[in-house]
Amino acid sequence: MAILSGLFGFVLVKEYVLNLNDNRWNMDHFLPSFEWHHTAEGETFLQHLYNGRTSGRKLFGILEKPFQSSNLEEVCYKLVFVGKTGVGKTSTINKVAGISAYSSYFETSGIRVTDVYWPVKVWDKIILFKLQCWDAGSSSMKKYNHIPLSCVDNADFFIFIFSFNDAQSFNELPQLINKFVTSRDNQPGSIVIGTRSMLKTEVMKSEIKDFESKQNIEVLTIQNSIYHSGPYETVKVAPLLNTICEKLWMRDQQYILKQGIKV
Amino acid sequence: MGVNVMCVTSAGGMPLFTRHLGRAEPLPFSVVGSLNGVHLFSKSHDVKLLNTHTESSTVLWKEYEESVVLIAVSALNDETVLVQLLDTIFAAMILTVGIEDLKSIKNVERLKRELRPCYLLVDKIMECLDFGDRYVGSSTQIFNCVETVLCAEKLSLMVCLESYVECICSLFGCVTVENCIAVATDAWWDLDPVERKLLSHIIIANSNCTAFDIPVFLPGKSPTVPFRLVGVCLIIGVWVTVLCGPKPDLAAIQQTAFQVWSPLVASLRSMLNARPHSIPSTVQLHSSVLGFLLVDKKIGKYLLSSCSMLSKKESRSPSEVLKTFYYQAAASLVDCDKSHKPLETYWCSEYHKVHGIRKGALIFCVMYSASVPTHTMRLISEESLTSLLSDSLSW
Repeated sequence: MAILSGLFGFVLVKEYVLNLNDNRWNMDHFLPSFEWHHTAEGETFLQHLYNGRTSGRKLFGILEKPFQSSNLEEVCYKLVFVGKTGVGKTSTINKVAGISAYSSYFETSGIRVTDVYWPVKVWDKIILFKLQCWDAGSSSMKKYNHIPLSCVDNADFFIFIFSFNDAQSFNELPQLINKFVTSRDNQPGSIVIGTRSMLKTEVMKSEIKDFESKQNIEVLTIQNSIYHSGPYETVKVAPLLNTICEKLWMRDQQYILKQGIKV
Repeated sequence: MGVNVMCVTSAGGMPLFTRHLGRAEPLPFSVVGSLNGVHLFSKSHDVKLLNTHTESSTVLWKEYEESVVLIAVSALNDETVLVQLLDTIFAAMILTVGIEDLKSIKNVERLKRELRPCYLLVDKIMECLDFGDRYVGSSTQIFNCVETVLCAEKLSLMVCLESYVECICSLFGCVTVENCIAVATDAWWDLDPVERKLLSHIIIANSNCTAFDIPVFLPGKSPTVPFRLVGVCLIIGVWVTVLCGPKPDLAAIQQTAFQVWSPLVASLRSMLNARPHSIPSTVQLHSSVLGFLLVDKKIGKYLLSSCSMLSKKESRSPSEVLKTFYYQAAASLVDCDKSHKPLETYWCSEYHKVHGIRKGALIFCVMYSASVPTHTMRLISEESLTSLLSDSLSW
């Protein structure tokens, strides 16, 4: 997956490098635009992702694409969701995918993959991000060797989940991050998401600040308990998805630049 | 109306889990304790406690592997159905953790944790019961029978499925359309009906993602060594699922699925139109038929078809009425004693009539509009059954 996305990125960067010779180079050009989803163009793109019948977002099977006719550039990444049992990995994925799910809690068994499509405008080009969200039940993760292996293999991005309602899930994070994130070349990117299902919180803001600076990792929050339907739903998750896409994009750019220097 | 199911260890009476469905309050801990106490008391006196009836409900106990006791409390459902319910729930427990962990319980807390992933499965199994109440989920699932769909594209799908399972080095594979089996390999049909139904429940429970890879123990075939149940969503509503060993990994299977199934996108899309009729448009049934349910108890499969035309006065859909009719009247056409073998049964109500006939292990229930004369139902039912069982459809 990383190779595939690397190739896509390479083609793009080549174009940018050509432009670079003519114009003043500006790093901002490489970044996805955060406001684009609120523009008329952005909204028409998002319309394609909606399911008219359920007013949620659509999922797409492996033989389908959201924009069949247009030849949008597509980049594919593997995202792995990790965290203590019951913190809300599956419900976070459902939130990100814009689908409603079971109202009560069920522990995930084995691996579940949910493909989320998200169009992003980078400079003057619209790129379709295909985010394969991998989610594995904690007990199967411990019981079977092939499950963690299969999840970590070729991963592009780790999303560590903790719950604001469970202090232990937050305290276990550094250990978890050390286990998954190694300092090899082109290592997967990572981010931390805190879920909240009740108002009462066991994790303080100051603790999060400390953690962010110590671990050098960004912490975002998400409210999983409320399900928004209709276009309002994307407004809620757009910042999260944009941040993830930006980090993936930056990682590819840096990788390609490095490769370019080596060559 | 609803049902309560509890699972406790035989040795210490430690509760492993409790689930409830429908309009039943979860039983308080003290009641669970007493229910287990009665069973324990009779066991210590060498008496086997089977069931008891109260004014509103039936209580059933069953012990498995001398290790765990399952207790069901339900209104409206009789003992035979509840025994099936508990057997299937125990099979779901084996499927989740394997028989070894259930036979010799070393650490109750750990087993409790490991059983958690089977809650969803237990809930799906309970939904198969008939509550005679449309507020309790509109599930029309039937016990230990998998729902199928008849489609015109069967042959080309079968060829594709055979080559797909071969690529994955497996024998077991099936294609589902909106959770109904459209085609499956011979090995899939050779599985035990309970196993096949449990796998179907897992497929249904995971249809809100795009791929899954779940370890499963097969209660009959392989209770000690787990297989992997790997499903890939081809287009929304159509899944291909296989049972395989440790290799190849999920990403490789997804890639294989893409290669093998891409040429068939058009026929897969046309299959989605088959629901909710579930039969090809070439099969024409009499205009008075509102819907039908065809159950093969021996293989454990059924075909449920309903027409969308409904009078507004009718609040329950034909499929719900057929399910209730099947449980209340028709299912017993097969499971009765030898001296007395009824072949037909029917109901007449204000808005519709339902007729059921038995042919060998097959039960065919048809729902008619109320205007059909009662004595012609037999004729139409038999004609419809003949056209459904014609060789060209190969159900």
